[in-house]
Amino acid sequence: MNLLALDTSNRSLTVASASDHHLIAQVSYENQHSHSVTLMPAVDQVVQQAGWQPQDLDRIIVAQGPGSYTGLRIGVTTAKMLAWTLHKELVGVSSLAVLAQNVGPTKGYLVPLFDARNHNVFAGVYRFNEQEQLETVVEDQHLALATLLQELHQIDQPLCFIYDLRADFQEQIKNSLGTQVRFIDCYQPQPESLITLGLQAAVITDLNQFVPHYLRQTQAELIWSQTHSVNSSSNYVEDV
Amino acid sequence: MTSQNPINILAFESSCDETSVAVVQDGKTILSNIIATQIKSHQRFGGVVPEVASRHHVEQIIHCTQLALQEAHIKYEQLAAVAVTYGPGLVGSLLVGLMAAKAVSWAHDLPLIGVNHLAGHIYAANLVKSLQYPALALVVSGGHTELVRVSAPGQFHILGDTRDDAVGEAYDKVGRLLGVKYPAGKTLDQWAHEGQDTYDFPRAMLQEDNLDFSFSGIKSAVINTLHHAQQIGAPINKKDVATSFQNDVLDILVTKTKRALAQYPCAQLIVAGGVAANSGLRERLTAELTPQVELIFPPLRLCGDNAAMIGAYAAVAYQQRNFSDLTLNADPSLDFAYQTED
Repeated sequence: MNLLALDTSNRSLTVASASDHHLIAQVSYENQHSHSVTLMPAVDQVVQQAGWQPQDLDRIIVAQGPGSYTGLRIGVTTAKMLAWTLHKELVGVSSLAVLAQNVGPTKGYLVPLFDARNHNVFAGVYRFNEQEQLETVVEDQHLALATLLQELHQIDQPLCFIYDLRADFQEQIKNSLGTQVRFIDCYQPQPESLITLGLQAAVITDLNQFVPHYLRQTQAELIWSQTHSVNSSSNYVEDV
Repeated sequence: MTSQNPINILAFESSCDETSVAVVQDGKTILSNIIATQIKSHQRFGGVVPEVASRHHVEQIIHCTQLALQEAHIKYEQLAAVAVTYGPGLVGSLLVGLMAAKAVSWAHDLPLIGVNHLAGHIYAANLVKSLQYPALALVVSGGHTELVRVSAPGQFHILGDTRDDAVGEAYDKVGRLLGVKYPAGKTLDQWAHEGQDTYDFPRAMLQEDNLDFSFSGIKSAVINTLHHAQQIGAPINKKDVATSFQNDVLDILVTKTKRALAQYPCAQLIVAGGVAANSGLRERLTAELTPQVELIFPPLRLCGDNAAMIGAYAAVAYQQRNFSDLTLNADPSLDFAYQTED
């Protein structure tokens, strides 16, 4: 199966082509701000290096979030349009699961997180099962770091935190959970991780409804919903 | 003589709160023009919230593209190019249309054409009547108030610009003061026809010898008037406020447009952008400028943001082989160059 994988959920960009588990070509940038400029040239490059035409792709894998809202929209819009216009499979994978997969089979629970500012994080809890496949223990969520640590108190397993260690969380985590926790400095999605998870993920059936996992309402909607009853059936967008 | 194939362009527009995809033939014929508007969503907040707008675009983009191709009965192999608005506008919104257009252009090996949203508004007129050069364009919308000289196909220069609020923005702000739902233009235009000009708000910058506009002073005058009336418990006639406000705005727009035509004679005046739908503006310009110049008001559906206008301008860029590559980025503050003295 010919795969194209992309992750633009945070500052790093990872784009890769692969044939099943065999990585063919990759483009990675560690710390850049213009995924909108670099993404499509990178896609073009890895597909060319594989010797493919766009039509030769079978499946598009995209990191669906959480992460930077703008970054996610760049990746998700590109992936869903490619899948739709070429009639190819689309799968979404968790941007946090990609970090856990980077670490590889490990004992205990893996806690990948992204800094969401103001002492908040995006975080999930994962573990590798006996077949060395990554499993979700706690779904990705947006929450205060303090709340996450409280929830983790209930877990009687070795914990390994995976994030960009430049974020200033270590002391708070150790204070809360003790010095037994491990830390892994990792924030760059590896193409192999995207591919492994992308091969396991379920194919999206409704491309239209495929949107980033923001895990957070916009500020405007949060405030609005405090004073209004949210009618989920409201159609806020209409064809005219 | 060989007959030429029609130039079909698939165009994307997502610069603000409308997701639109169109197929336009030879820059003249609309084969489809799908518009999904988010007005109902943003009415909750009294104006466009950028993050909410960007999210809606992602939800709508495939639906709109699918309908546009279906309605046009066009297959990818019949397309000559893919065009997209790359600015000005809200960056998060622009990026959705931009990435979608790049994906389709790459997937089907079609040239990509980045279009200035304002060029699109102006070339909406070309869908109604062939443009004659040089032409003058009055671009009036929620984000822009500009007098633009179009000296040749694709050659734009700004003669005058707003120093503060755009005219559509002024309508929305005054509308909010009067308790009118966003977007307020239509209701205020209607009220303006039913009231009297009793408040006589100040005409900003009419005396100044330039082609620029200012609307924040009028807005302040309306605020002060309403505030004062509230303090002394005097009744406010909203329709009279609307009439006074609209007369003020139209005096400024019409006077500056006439001045621009005197300095840069043109055979055609194109009125473009969402505020071109204003019936008061249409009446005044028609009464005061015809038959000296030919006035082109695009039909209402083409005044607001839509992708057909992007396809209309893209045909010019296509003829000039003015293509973009896959590194094309959104430029939220994209603008034309200013006219230099010649």
